[in-house]
Amino acid sequence: MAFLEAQKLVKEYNRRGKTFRAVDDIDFTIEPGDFVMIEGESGSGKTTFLNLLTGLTDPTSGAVIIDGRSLKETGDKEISKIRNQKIKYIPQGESLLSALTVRENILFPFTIGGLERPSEERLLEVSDKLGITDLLDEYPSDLSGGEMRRATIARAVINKPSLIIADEPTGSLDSANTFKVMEIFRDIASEGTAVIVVTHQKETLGYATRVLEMDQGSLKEVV
Amino acid sequence: MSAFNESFRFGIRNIRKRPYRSFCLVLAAVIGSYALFVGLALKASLNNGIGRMQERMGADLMIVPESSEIEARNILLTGEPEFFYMDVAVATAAAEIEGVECATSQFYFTSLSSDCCSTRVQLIAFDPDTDFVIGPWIDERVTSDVSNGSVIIGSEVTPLSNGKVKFYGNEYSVAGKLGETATGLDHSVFMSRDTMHGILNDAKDKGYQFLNPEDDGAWVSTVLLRVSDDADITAVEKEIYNRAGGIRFIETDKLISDVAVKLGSVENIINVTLTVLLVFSFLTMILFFSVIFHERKKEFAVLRILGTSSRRICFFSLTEGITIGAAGGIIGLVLGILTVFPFNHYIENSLDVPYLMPSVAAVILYGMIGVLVTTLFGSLSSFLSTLSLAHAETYYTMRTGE
Amino acid sequence: MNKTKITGIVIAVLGLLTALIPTVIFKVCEAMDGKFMKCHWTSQTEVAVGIATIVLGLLIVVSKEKAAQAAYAVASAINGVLVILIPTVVIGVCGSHDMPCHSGTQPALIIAGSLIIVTALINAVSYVISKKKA
Repeated sequence: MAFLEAQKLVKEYNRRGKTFRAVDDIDFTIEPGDFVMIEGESGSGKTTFLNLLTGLTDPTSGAVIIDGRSLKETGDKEISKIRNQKIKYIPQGESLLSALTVRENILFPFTIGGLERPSEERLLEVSDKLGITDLLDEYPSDLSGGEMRRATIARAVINKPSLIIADEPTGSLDSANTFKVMEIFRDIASEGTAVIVVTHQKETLGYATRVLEMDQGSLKEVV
Repeated sequence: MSAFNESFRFGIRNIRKRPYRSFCLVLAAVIGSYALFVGLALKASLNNGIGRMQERMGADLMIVPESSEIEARNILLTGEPEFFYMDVAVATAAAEIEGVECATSQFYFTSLSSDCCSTRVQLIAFDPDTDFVIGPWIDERVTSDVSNGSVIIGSEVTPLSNGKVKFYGNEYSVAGKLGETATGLDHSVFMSRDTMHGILNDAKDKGYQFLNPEDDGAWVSTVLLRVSDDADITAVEKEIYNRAGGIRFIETDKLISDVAVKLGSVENIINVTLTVLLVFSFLTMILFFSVIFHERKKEFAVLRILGTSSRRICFFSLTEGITIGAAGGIIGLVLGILTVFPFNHYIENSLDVPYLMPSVAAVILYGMIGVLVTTLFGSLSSFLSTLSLAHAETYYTMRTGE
Repeated sequence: MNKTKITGIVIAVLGLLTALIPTVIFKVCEAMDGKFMKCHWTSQTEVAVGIATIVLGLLIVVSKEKAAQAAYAVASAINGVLVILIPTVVIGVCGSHDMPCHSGTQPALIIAGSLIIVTALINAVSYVISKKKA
């Protein structure tokens, strides 16, 4: 059974009285171990689609089913728990909490949720791989854009979740770091985590097991 | 780590990471709590003051010389030292009227302020045999009676370091101290007629002539009357006036209702100021929290993404609100205590109405109310701001305008 | 702006208050019949102590040595004690509660003095703690 399934997913927004369909009737499934990349022009509805998958936005119609349960029938508390433990979302832009250090940011999901804290070795393993070990006790305001990005990625991958969803995760990284991140995603996928990455960078598409294209709210399989 | 602990720590971190904002918010809470505490304490002191005054005004009626009504009121209300007198015949006449239960006379004169660092005080000679207005309020500290030349002092009169008081060069031992009356009597010194004669002679030696050289025993400043319950006070006044002219009557009930009117206007000022400051405090907190949370929309989105439930986010911001409200409330309370207690006499002297601090327990209660209200302000304003965010769809999405 | 400098500024402001309380904010009694009362001399002395405290506060702000700052802080604390003792023990104020110097100036100076002591001690104690840690 697919870990996550989207059925006839539609999301409409109202803009100055006109209805605008950001996500238009999408069917989509992802299995454990899948590494899916989604490309598409900006404004094609990618981020809205990801927000729907993670239950951050409610669909106008259609359903998202995670582990056999429709999000529609799941309360906020439980959806939050799923996001906390099973689905790690790396949104666009900066998403570190400014009041906490990098280390506290990476461990934050564990302080608010029920999962056991990862060991210090695991923390160092991930931070070493991402080259942020020296920055663990710094505050986000002292970090460069690329460093923040990598800290965010560390936060997502540290506990090997069921699904990682990343919205342009390598946008502010140089090519060496970009490939390093893609390798991390590929490794984690090979261990059974499903990965969805939205990207503009064609050169990274090779890491994916499936490539999809988003166009005006519709999703098409490319590879 | 419990959820409460965690959100408390997170809230504190957020407060500390933004010192300027937190300072403004705490300041708003300080103003609210300070205003509430000081306002309530002042109001209670005023009501307490007039209550005590009513209770301690032993006489129903006061007879004074025709031209001295204002001076007599000053003595009673503010303790402003005055000097006036009239013929003793009034006292004898008044005592004989039907309906008069008790009558006693007093003689008012003043001390000098030249004895370094003591203000002029009202000196009052009374008649211990007929007295019914002072005696009941003398505290238990009386060590001897006033017949041997010692005096009784009002609660606000400070003796010299040797425990005595000094008038016109001579020192007098203190026989007792009156309990607080919230009237001018707190600033007065009471003595027997004999002691008065001695002081008047000392004054004369120093060049202060209070009376004509005639027999001063024949003069009184006021006659105080208690009228029986079934007697018509106006009829009594009329009867006395017929027998002795050139006098004025001060009715205690009217005096107190005059004070109540004045008190009412002071209370109004306090109420208005209090309301304005409380509204200001609350609005500032709402405004600041809304601005903060609006700016932090993205942070809330991040919290959502990381799996924080809506309830939990409300809990986080509530923690911030409660912490700020309570911290400000406590600071305001401390400032309030530093105002109300040390400057007690300063406030009393400035207000010019009876003022008597309520019990410590009552004051503590006002302090608790102040802290509670600002804590409520803090939690309410943070909660309302989070609620408005929770309803906005954009709150969940990272990109605005999507 | 570090915390030590902030305590310096606070001390200087409190010093200014100490000088202003008996002269402007809670003015002491006027001379009576051309004779100055106790509170007048209290006022004069407090102005001097206040100015000294301002100087100490500013010295804390400008000095670079942590040890010197702590020493100035201790001196400020002693000044704070003086601010309290002058209107209560050393010189005093007028006897009656009705005199403005007794009901206003004295309590205000006691509060100002206490705040100076507390602020100065925060500075000095944090220096001792940092010294112990090092």
